Amino acid sequence: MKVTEAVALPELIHDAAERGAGITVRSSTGPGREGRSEPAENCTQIDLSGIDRIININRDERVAIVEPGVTYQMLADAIEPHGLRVCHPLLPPAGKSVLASLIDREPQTIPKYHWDFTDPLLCAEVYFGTGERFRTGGAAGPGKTLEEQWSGGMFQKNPLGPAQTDLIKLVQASQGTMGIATWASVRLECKPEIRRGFVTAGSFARLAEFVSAITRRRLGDEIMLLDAAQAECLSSALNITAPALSGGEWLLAIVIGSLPFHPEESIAFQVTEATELAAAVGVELNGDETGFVRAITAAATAAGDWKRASLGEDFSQIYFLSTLNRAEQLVDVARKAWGASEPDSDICVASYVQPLNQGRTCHVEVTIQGRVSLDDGARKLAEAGAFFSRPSAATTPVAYERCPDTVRALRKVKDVLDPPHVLNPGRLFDDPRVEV
Amino acid sequence: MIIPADALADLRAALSAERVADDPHILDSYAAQPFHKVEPGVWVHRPIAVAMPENTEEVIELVKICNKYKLRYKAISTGWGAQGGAGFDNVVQVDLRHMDRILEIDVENRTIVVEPYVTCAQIQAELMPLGLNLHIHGAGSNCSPLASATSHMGMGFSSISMGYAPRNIMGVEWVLPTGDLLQVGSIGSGAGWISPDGPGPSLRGILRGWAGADGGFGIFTKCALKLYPWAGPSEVNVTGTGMDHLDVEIPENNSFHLCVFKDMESYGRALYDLAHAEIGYIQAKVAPGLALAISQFDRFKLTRDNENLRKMVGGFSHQFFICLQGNSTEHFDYQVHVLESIVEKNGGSMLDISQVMGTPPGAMWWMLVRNSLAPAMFRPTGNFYSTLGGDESIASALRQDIEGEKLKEGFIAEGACEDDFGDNAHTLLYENGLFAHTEELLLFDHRNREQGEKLKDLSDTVMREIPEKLLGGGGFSFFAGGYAHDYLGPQMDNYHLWQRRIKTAFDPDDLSDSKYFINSEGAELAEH
Repeated sequence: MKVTEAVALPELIHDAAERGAGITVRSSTGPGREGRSEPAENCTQIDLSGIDRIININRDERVAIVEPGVTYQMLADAIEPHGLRVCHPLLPPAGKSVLASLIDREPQTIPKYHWDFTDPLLCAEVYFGTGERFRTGGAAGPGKTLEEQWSGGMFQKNPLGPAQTDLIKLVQASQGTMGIATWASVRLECKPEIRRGFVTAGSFARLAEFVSAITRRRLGDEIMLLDAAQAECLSSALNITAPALSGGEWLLAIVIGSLPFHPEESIAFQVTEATELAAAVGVELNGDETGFVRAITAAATAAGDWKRASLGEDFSQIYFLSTLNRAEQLVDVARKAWGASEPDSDICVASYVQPLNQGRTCHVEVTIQGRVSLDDGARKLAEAGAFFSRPSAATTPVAYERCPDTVRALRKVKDVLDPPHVLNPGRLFDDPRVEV
Repeated sequence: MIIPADALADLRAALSAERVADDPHILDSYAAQPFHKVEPGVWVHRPIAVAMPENTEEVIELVKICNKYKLRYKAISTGWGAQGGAGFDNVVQVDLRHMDRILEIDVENRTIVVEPYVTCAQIQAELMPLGLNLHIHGAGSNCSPLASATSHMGMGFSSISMGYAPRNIMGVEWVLPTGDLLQVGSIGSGAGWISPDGPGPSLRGILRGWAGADGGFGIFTKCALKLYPWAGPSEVNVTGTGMDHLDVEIPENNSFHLCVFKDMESYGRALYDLAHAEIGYIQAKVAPGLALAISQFDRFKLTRDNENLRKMVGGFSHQFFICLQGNSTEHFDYQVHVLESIVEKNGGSMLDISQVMGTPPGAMWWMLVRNSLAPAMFRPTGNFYSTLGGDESIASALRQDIEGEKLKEGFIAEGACEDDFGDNAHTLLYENGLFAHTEELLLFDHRNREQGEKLKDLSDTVMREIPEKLLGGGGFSFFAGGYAHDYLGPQMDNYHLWQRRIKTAFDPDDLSDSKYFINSEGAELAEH
């Protein structure tokens, strides 16, 4: 069901509750990768992609407010004249909703601006399962409307609260089970005048050591670690040439961007420091001769979903959080789990490691060619220390069976925010496969 | 009230007789909490017992005993305010001073795991030789970073480069109000302290908001926090003690600057430039009257009583100080260049603080790195009070500064607080200017009954002005307790309904002392 105004939601929620039915929402367009937003039985899917205004852009405050249907390309185009940019996941597909990505706590590619796991989401307007509307963080007010708040110099920037609870954190990564977001304020950054791309190849351990050193200093903009298969996936999807890698080597893609004041001078000290830190661990920074780094750091891709463009419909993926000093070991567990480490294996397993949270944590994403069962591999990964922070349908049971105290608490919260259990019922901690 | 004998016996059996006290003189020592009291006077409620657990298991056991006997309980670690004391008559005070261990420092991934009574100073001493540092919240280095991050607020001089305390959490071990244990984030799944959120929705959402529950929502027994780089020496060369006698050599690639602007407008523009520039290690405004009062009280009195000197000091109202720290000489030089450009662009000046206040720059630099200024706030008059504090944009902070000064002038005129020249805003940026904090500080003497009486309406006056004049979020007014929520909630999207529903769901008997959080009083009325 296509909804064109958020104010229609309370009635839809009450109606579904009366019928004992459920509601799922979708804001992006185009096929999803995991069928997460496919409605379960007896659920109505509400399509919010038609609600697509950029409500506000503020250069001084570096903030924009977006509705669910705004895509990364739409936002990037709109803020570019203001000298701003938005942090985004690796090559978001053309129809990817900014709001959906923020609410899903998707990994961002610029670790230095990732201060907390909620970033770059600031505030949001949310409808709960009671049908009540609520605005989180600084957007709660005082001031009944956005315009009134703006008149008082309040620009929906405080990501916490209001007061002594922080409901947006319960809505994020809830897959629509706790609330439905109908707009969000997003933190923006100044767009660098100068961007210099670099690549370097080497063992994962050395590259990780280098990444750890530069993120500690908050150096570098986009930073990504790709194995050969992942680099090949991206280059084939984008029709560009990836830098050559020899057996077992990983590729580090990094952008160094200028800062708003004295851009040349800012580039100079950053490149000097990065080069010295690279040399200290025995790697060398090379220029982005083929334009590979420039292409993979774009805010959107015209090719649609790069994974589909490269692998077609037949792929499986699993992702989790770890740290830079443990990620390689977990990638090995994954490769073994799906048979890619056998000498004569022709199974393609591509791995992407995204430093987050200023380098303290990383997102590890493993893509396996073909439709494979993920259950056993997920269990092995969890046993080895992988944390399924954003569980998929495949990883939900293993994610929650390890933390019964969390499940009990989340179910209690669900009873508060969604008493009739109308919002995407039976998912995540309420999945019937999760036993406590 | 006295504790029931059976409950006392159970607590002693669980913890040992030496660590559970009901002696009146000990109980009274926990009830003297004159700081940040809404009501005038020194005393909060006397607890009925004090229990000192040594570990999480003992905390669980004592919370379950309190649940069994329907006794309220209230945790305190290093707190020095009314919010740490008992809010009601039948409260067991849980003193966490025996839980004072640093459990783990992960240098590679820049995190630390601590117990509740570990102080920032203790941690900082361990970190500097490792090239690391931590965000020290406003209460100062003598206080617990766990308490700040989980339970109170968390702004501080280092916020520009190290953020707001609750955003530095990497995981929490939490004894819920009913005594059940909850590990928040990846630690709960046995995956280490690598994420505070998940699987799925983050329970940080109930743990706290912009403000913490101040002991009103269970007890936090362990917390992992983010660490940040320290590009100074392992040990800083410091001689002397106390604010007036410190002699500190500012290390290479570090500096301290005082940047002054001619008016609010140019000061505001400079703050926005600073927010965009991605420079700075420590930054804040400390109003000149306050700075003088806490550092040179004799000079302060001289200035206060001389109209010309007052005007001269008033000329320094629109300012911030900033410490720069470079990872390399090039990085440091770049930051100095940018700061000079920002000051020049906005028609400001960079001044030598030793000429302005008589305090050597090295001493100021070190007090900011250590964050030892907060306790000095008690020097001039014995006590102080903070108001406003609703974090939002820089524009909102400046608006609060202006209105705060006006409000305070009224209290000064009445003799309710010290005449510190009115402007006493303390303003700082978080995370390179993502959002900003400001608070209006008033110096007073809680032993002066007249001042106490005149200030008793301060909290309510500010609470009324916040929605009327759109002065950011609720700020410090949240800590006035339940009635503040019932006043501010309807003007802030009815947040109080959700906060109360969550409290009730997890603490049905309202036993975790909710004086400074929210409780069921008025719930029915509010829901309608």
